[in-house]
Amino acid sequence: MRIAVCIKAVPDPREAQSVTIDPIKKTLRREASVSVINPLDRNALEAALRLREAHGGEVSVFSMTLPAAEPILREALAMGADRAYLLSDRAFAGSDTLVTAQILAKALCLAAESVNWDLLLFGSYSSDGGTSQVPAQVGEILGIPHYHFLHQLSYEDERFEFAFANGNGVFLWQAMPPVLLSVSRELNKPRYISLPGIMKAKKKKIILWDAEALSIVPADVGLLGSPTQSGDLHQIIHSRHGEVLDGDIHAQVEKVLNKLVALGSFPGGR
Amino acid sequence: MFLTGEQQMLRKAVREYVEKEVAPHAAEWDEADICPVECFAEMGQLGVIGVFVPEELGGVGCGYLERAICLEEISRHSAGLGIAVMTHHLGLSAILDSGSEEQKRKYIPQLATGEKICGLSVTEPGGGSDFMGQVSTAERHGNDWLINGRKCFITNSHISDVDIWTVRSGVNEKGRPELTAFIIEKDTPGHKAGRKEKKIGLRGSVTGEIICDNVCLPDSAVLGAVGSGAKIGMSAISEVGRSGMAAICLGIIRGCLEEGIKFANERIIYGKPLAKLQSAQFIIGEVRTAYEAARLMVYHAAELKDRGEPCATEIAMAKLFASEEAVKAAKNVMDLMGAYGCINEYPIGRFLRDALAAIPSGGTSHIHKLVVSGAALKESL
Repeated sequence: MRIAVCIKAVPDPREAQSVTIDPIKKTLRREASVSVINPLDRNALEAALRLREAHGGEVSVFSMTLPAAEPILREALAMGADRAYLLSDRAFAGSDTLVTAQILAKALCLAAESVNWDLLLFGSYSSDGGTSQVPAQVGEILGIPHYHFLHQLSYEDERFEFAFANGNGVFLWQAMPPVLLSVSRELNKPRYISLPGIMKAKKKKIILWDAEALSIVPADVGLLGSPTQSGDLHQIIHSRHGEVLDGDIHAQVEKVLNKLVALGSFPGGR
Repeated sequence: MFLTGEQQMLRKAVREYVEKEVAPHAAEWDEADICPVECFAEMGQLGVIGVFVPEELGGVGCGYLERAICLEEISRHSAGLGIAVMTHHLGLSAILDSGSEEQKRKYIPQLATGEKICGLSVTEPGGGSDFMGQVSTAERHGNDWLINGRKCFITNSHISDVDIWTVRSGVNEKGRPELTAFIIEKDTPGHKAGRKEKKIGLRGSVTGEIICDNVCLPDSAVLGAVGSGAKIGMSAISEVGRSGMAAICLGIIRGCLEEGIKFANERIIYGKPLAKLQSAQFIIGEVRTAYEAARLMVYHAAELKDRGEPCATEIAMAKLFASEEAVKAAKNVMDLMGAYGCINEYPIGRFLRDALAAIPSGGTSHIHKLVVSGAALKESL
């Protein structure tokens, strides 16, 4: 079974205080923070590794990120992935979800010249952006069936069987390869990175593909090539102040109600 | 000192395991005074237990620097579990360094994966530092050996599957006592754990007596050559034991530092975080500096061992410094926390007890000063 897993470098939650946003580009200053594999992408990689262990095959990981975040690909290799592709170019900086999906799709197609994918796996959303858009966009660009937020996945009789839940119940599906799936946290418990895995990862190669390697025109990607333009940024400031109301109890209640109305607490009026 | 990419990833991997599987239970293990033996198999799977064991014997093939990183990370949250793993390494290393090929093949793979737990029994009621004063004996009994004696303050006493004993087996040509090391398997008739000690700290580990009452062992149980027990025991303690204890103390200092920073940032006093007060900043500055100095000493000593260079003195200095600084760091952070520091909801009291219990483990500070001064008086700097 040939499986590709797309992983994203996200800021380490432990370093959340050091994460800042570029006020002009309105993007995260990723170079200033320590990166980890997006937590749900680890669930996706775990699913891929379990399928490979049960049915044989190979697992490749892809990540569009800064060269400085290469250690996350090394971690994926240490978890057990067979090869890793780093998609990195200054031109990619600031790409929105659509352009990111286009770059990932290009890389998956280029790699597919030598490998026909049976399964493409993603985490359902990232812990930083959290849009959930990229997996579906990649599925649409590649023109293959895609299903999301899976909490159950297996492979039998050359079909993938999987389940996802929404407010109406649990949906069980079957799909023939190739298929794109994005997974939720409930699917599995990702394995810990083992020390022997780290030693083996030393010998595995990370393949670097830039815009040229992917036949991408720089102007079509990055901040300028992205159709999404961020609006203004506002910082919510939570502050408290006290005020002593005078008058008798009825007058005080009236003043409180008037203040609440002024703050919009009773949209339908008193 | 700069760590390689692999060493940094190793730290991250061990930290992730420890934060999820050790940290949430550390206080409970301390309170109940139990050693979580199930962690050995889990950490064995991750490679932590066999980190310095060669790959061909089931280990990872790294060195003592990587082992120090592992012990530091474990001890950031549970120095008790740290010393249990350290002591396991102590016995394991004795077999690895002095065992026959057959003994290595028989014992090391299961010890490297944590399927079995090892211990080293040297200390006797007469004291641990009086190494050659051991009175437990090994006597010839036909083709076998009869072992008799009592060991005390032995870590992993009640949980070890493989127990290495050093005992008096005779006298040499100068009339001095001669020690021999033996490998004793669990459930060997006459070999049993005795009293379990109630320690003030390092309570995620089991410490107690082990008794040998006419334990009959074949020649194949002799570790190394007959009469080489002193060298085997001292080498394991002075290099593997003390470097491990130094790394454990480093972990305690780091735990104290992190706890102090967290508390100083969260505690609001006089309308602002405690961290804004200079008195708190002084403490954080001192503990951070102690951590950095201890880290450099511990890693440097471990690296010397990995290079195969003489390192007993550097390891003694690292253990002396790190253990004393661990006590100071815990006391300093307790001062920072005021009354909160005395509440067991916070781990700082446990860190202080662990640091105090770490002082005599592997040799007291006085012994380490003797080791260091002995070398200093001989050398020209």
